[in-house]
Amino acid sequence: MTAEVAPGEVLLECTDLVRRFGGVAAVDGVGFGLRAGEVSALIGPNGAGKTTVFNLLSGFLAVTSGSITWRGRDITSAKATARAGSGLVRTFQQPRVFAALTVHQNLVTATHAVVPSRVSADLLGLPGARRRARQRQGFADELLDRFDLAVHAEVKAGDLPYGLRKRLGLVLGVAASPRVLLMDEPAAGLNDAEVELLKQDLATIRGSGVTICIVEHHMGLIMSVSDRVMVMESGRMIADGTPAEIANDERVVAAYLGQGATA
Amino acid sequence: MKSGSVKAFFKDRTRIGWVAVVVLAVFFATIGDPTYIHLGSLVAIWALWGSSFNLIWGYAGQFSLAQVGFGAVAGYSVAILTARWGWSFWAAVPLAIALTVLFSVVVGYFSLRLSGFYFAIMTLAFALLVVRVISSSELAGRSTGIKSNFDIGTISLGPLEWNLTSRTGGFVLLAFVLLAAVLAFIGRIERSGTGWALNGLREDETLSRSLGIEPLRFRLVGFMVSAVIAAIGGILYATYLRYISPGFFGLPAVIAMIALVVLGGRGFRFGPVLGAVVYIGITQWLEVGGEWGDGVFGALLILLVLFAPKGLLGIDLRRLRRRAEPPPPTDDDEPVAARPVPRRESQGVKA
Amino acid sequence: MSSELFLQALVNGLMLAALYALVALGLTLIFGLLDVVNFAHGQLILLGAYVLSSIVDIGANFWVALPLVVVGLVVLGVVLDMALFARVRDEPINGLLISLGLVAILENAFHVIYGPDLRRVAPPIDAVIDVAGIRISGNRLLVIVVTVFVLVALSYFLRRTRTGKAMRATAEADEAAGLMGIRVERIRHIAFAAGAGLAGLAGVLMATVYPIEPSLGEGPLIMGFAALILGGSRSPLGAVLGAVVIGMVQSFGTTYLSSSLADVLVFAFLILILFWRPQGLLRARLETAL
Ligand SMILES: Nc1ncnc2c1ncn2[C@@H]1O[C@H](COP(=O)(O)OP(=O)(O)OP(=O)(O)O)[C@@H](O)[C@H]1O
Ligand SMILES: [Mg+2]
Repeated sequence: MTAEVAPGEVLLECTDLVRRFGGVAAVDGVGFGLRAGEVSALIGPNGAGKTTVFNLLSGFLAVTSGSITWRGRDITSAKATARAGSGLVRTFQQPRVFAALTVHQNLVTATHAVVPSRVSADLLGLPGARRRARQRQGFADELLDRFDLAVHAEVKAGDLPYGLRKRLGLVLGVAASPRVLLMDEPAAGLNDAEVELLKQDLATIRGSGVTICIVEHHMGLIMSVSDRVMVMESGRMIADGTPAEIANDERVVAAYLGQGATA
Repeated sequence: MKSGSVKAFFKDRTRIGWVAVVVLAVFFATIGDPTYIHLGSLVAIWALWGSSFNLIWGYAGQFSLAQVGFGAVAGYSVAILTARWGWSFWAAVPLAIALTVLFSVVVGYFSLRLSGFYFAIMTLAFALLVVRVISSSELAGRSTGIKSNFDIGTISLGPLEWNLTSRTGGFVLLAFVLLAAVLAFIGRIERSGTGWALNGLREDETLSRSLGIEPLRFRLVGFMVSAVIAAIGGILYATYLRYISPGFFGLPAVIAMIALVVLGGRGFRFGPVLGAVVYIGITQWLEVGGEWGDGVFGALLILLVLFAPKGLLGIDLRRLRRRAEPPPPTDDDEPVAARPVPRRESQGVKA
Repeated sequence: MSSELFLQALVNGLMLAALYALVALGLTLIFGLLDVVNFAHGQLILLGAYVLSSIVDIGANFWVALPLVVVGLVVLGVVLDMALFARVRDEPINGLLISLGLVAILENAFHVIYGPDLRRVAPPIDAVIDVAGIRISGNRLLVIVVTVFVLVALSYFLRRTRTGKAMRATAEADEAAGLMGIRVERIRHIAFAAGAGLAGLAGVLMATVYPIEPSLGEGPLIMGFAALILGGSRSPLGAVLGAVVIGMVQSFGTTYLSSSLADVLVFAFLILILFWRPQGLLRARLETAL
């Protein structure tokens, strides 16, 4: 949230991404750019390579070949933590939360990127350390309010029902103060009411100026929230366009029918 | 004072902890009897060693068996510098601590990339390596060790003279003051961003990395701080006994250190203090079980692991009293029980 | 003369390798199937040695006492696993902690019952064999021969018997093994029992070569862990090869340097291996070979 970003500027760009596992190319020559302010979706049948793309972009997996640039800088071999720290944040398909910490503690931990720790100040107890501790608390409280989690603040994250855990996982990503947020199947396993809530959350997140890229199987959600849809199959990008264009694309329909589509 | 306000005062576990430390210090330092001076010194020293392990395991989630080795490096450094090379005690201490921290960085460099069993064995190998190097070094007195009659002297605080000589009440007080300082320091880490980062890494390294928390950096810091604490313990130990030998720093010491942290409650700041009191109490003081003291302690450890794995401080009295009701919300100061030694993380992220 | 020294070191190295192999195999079975890092293994070795000495003191023959001790430890292993370790399967670290409690209890028991003094068991073999100018005590040879025999038997057991195959399947993937109808819990009890039995055997063999004293188990425990790591930590064959490497390093180090420096070498070697090849010296290909 530091620097102003011109709307439409390409924040994240990848070219010719390839990732092989053994002999199999899970991602095979994928390239696209994410523009500031946009909500894009990355869809495709199971095993198409969507999560792998996110792992490559966020630095959790090394590319076999290809390059990634972030705001004009090459980050192909940057550490995952450095990418997260500079505003390129991802969430996980399986909800990941700090299970043994309370919801509030989860959020405080996640504010690390916003309020970085100065180890020396923390150890020496310099005044800055105390100020930052207050900032963290304040930021966590704000998020609790913004995402209606205040009632669960003192509940251990591991004790939350699935839907809330999933939601908390998303809010943790938001707490890391992303410029671009890569969300891996935020709607998976949610009921209809929870999906509606998710739509509101997405609007809130987008409203705060975050660029969003969603991997999803939930077509209803995709069609209603995204400006742009990219489709992958077997590690390759087979289509890229507006939701309306994609809905009528023959190759996309074929890819999904071949797999037994989940709508 | 009304009993209500006393109750309110003690509602906060941290306060109970501090009161306990002060009571222990005053009790052992003023009673004057050599037996109690002995017991008090041991309680404070073991609580320090336990705190070192508690920080790296209970807080940071790294099952490091190198802590005793850090104590050995520091203790021997002081002993060699003073007894062999004629340094003054107070000049030797900072250098010894610096050397220990340096050593912890080396150990950290080799071990922090590993996890679980591999990390534990790597750190154990370093601890035992230190002991074997010491026992084969002429300078360190081989297996006999070094007589180290450290002259710590006295400190004048205005009109008060504080005699720090080993085996006096003043020494016990010094040991407890250092323990209190370490506990306060750990409390500061607990509340700081560094503490939250260590917490996060212990709970879920992948998630932490996705939030920008750099594992190596914070774990190395945890390692260095825990080494300083172990160093203080090691130096005090050598000072107290006026003697240092490799026998103090072997596998039995590693085991006792782990056991007392588990007993008190892993991840609780005052857990090692309680653990040390119980450990020294059972094996040296009350002589519970007579010559079976160590065995009783071992049995107690097993019982706790089976029935109250969070340790003595982790036993939730309210829950015990009201079994039927749903669990009460947790205290703010209640830490999270340390995760088990994690198995090796596979590369990348499972979808 | 120096070639005689060399051969002596070689034979000693083989004997150490044999002892460490027995220990490392037990640790591997327990770690591979139960995920428990068993620090009490050293005390089980000591238990084997002490009990042997007690039985022999009563007047029994060594060859009668040996199977008694091994069977006794197997039974103890089953009891310990059922009563203690089985209760903390989901938290392997708690298994380690329980083993630490056992260390304290057994150590204390030995101290009370046997005291700090050295105990000796009359060696079962009196002969000293003279091979090409070097003199090998028959007991050292016995250690090597018994171990080779046990290794062959164990390898046959793991490869050919139903239970052995079930053990390997469980070590590979316990859930899948469970689904295939293998009684995983039973297999784990057997693994712990076998590990304890091997520890007891190692203790008996050590008692024929070394005097028994309270810290007798510590060395083999540590070297057993080292061998386990060198061998890739879940592979029985790897553990044996790791034991050979460590036995040799230690024996030659002791012969040509000093025993403390030999240990320094072993630990330094272990640290470097863990650093460069945490998966152990062997490749995965060999891991499935046994
Ligand atoms: N760490 C890994 N090791 C080996 N193969 C992997 C790994 N991660 C992914 N794969 C393989 O790569 C392919 C793409 O997997 P990926 O998880 O990216 O698919 P996806 O599009 O996210 O599918 P889903 O919709 O089911 O989440 C799959 O065939 C998968 O088996
Ligand atoms: Mg996926």
